[in-house]
Amino acid sequence: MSFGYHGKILRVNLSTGEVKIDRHNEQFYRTYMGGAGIGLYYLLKEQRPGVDPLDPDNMLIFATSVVTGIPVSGFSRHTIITKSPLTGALGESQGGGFWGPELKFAGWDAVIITGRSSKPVYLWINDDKVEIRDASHLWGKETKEAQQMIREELGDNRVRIAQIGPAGERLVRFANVTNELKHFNGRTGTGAVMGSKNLKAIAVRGTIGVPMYDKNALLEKAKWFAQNNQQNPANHEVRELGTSGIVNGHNAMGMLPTRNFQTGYFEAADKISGETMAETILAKRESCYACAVSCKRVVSCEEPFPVDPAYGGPEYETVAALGSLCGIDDIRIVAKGNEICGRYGMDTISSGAVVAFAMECYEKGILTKEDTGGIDLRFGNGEGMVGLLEMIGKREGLGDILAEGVKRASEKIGRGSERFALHTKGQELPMHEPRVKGMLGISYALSELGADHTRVEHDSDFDFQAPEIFLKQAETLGILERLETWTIDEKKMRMFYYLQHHFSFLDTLCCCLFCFAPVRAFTMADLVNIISATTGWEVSLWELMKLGERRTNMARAFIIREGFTRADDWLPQRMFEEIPNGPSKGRRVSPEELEKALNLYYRMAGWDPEKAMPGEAKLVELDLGWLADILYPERVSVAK
Amino acid sequence: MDERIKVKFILTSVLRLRFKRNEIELLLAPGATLREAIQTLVSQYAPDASEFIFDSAGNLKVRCIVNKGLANLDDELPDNSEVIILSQVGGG
Repeated sequence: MSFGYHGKILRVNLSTGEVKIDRHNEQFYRTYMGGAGIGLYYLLKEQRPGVDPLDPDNMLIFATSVVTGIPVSGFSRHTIITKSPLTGALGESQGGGFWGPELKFAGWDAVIITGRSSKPVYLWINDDKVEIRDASHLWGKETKEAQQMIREELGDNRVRIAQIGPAGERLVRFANVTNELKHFNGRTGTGAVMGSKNLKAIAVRGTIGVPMYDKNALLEKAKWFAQNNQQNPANHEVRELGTSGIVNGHNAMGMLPTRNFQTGYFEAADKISGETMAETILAKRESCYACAVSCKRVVSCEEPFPVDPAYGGPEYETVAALGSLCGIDDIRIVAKGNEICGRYGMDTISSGAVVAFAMECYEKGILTKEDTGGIDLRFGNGEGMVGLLEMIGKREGLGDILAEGVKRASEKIGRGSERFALHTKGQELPMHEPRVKGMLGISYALSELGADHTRVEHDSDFDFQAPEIFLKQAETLGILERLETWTIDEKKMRMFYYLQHHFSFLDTLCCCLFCFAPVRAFTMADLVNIISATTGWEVSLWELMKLGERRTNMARAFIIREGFTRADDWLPQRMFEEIPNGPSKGRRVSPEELEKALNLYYRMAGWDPEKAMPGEAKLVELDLGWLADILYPERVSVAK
Repeated sequence: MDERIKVKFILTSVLRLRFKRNEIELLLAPGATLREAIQTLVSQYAPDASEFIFDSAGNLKVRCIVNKGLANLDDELPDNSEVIILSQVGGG
């Protein structure tokens, strides 16, 4: 008997209506474990290289892991993997909530969607019964209404629904997938791929459960975490104030992205902070499945716009993207922007970034009122931002151009606007400043998803003022020294290399970073013990680090196959310019230092430094000989 | 003449909730260090908030920006200092 996984992956071809099951053995699950490990296995083995992301042949994979759904904090998440319509690189995004565990309870480890339905449909998974149902009446509906209609239709309010909104239907390239209206697979445009397949939703209900090797040991861990996680300063803060509790801290250190990254200091930061949110519009705190952290916010207000609490509340990324990045100093307007993105199903980071890009173009005279449909699009115009978000969701006017993301939008607008399009590999920068967080900047440059803030722990958790407990927990990885936040020297690159693989295995296992990142309440030993208690495998931290490295190499192999090169591992020009004011005045990334750091990274990784490509020997070492055969067709395997 | 130094604390994050205010001004003896200033702040305004500021070994669990720059606990504070006590500033 297997523990932690069911050994079943559901495959649905929407072109033919065929439904079948893939079965894998224990070796497969122990090698790839879940999330992007499983997703990339399929993308690399089965998907045609160079496929258009919106083509029916692009695979859309919803994957859990061998620990998803166990009754311990931090295992509520699932990953969507595909080829991204925003970047053409790897599409990968994690979401929390309740959908992933429900899929496991229904007896499935993953769902793979291929093809395109001739009409709108949704998938109904009720344990082992799988049905493709008509969704013509749901098409065009906003997420709240669609969720309600599906639940009424299925006669069960406990059905969990992963769905797209109108933005996904209209192929907005940063459309997301949402469950429970408040939890999002936000980045890389997975919602547009779902829309391209005419797939409105996947509804799931499960009664089978997750097989666990030692349930009592897991319940003990759950109890310990529930009683003790608030002793950890990071866990405590995120419960009290949500993720936007870091707004004032980032601003005081001069690293709060402001007015399209023109600076790192926002004079009105406190007005959009987690503290202000708690004092004004916070309605309640919520959690994902089985989680004792309670990081989620629910907000509501009536003025200046009514905000529906059904859509939860803004995270830090949203607060900064729709707040400081756009020069907006009213948390209520940020909350409205968050609600609009939730209704249409759009990633809030990319949404804020395209609006900020348009605002800078407007202030620089590249866009005029004629382009904006009469909106005075200066930084700080909250009404303008709200209006533009609606236009993006509907693909109307300028919104239709911005719905393509900043890279494509700037190419279309031209006139020097490319300089204000802040992205790597086509994905908009998240709300962290590479000129102050050096290691984070390296991860932006290297990430196979384009800029992403969850590829590595952030520099400021290990600098000279970071709490001792953070350093203590990272010692397990051999990280023993504090380093300044902005450096990207040899020592920082070593720190990056280990933390990157650590984060990579957390992602592969679909673990929540707020429970398992090195600075959080669970230690790495706890995680090892939890995986062992779930699966019955005697896993080690070494095995998990190799899992993380394996996934990173598979992701890199995927984007190399799709045509990306070393030149794509870079940062936007603005990052090489000095921050003009605030506490981080004068900070910049040196292109020479970045070049050196990347060269060092490729050699650490066993990659070809000229092609930024995994070496044959490294792939073999990671038990990816089959991938070496794909990347190096001329090679002669020792075993052959 | 009062020779004490004036120190303005700006509180953020969970400390704002614990102290129930955004700013607090203290008058301290000349030569007071950052550690002494924070200890005075805690004892006078929110003794039960100590666990959010210091760990069991007396290390800071928060970070402080003193007069726009980073500071150590043993640094002496000049008159008219501004101390921002920050929450964690990692990822979000």
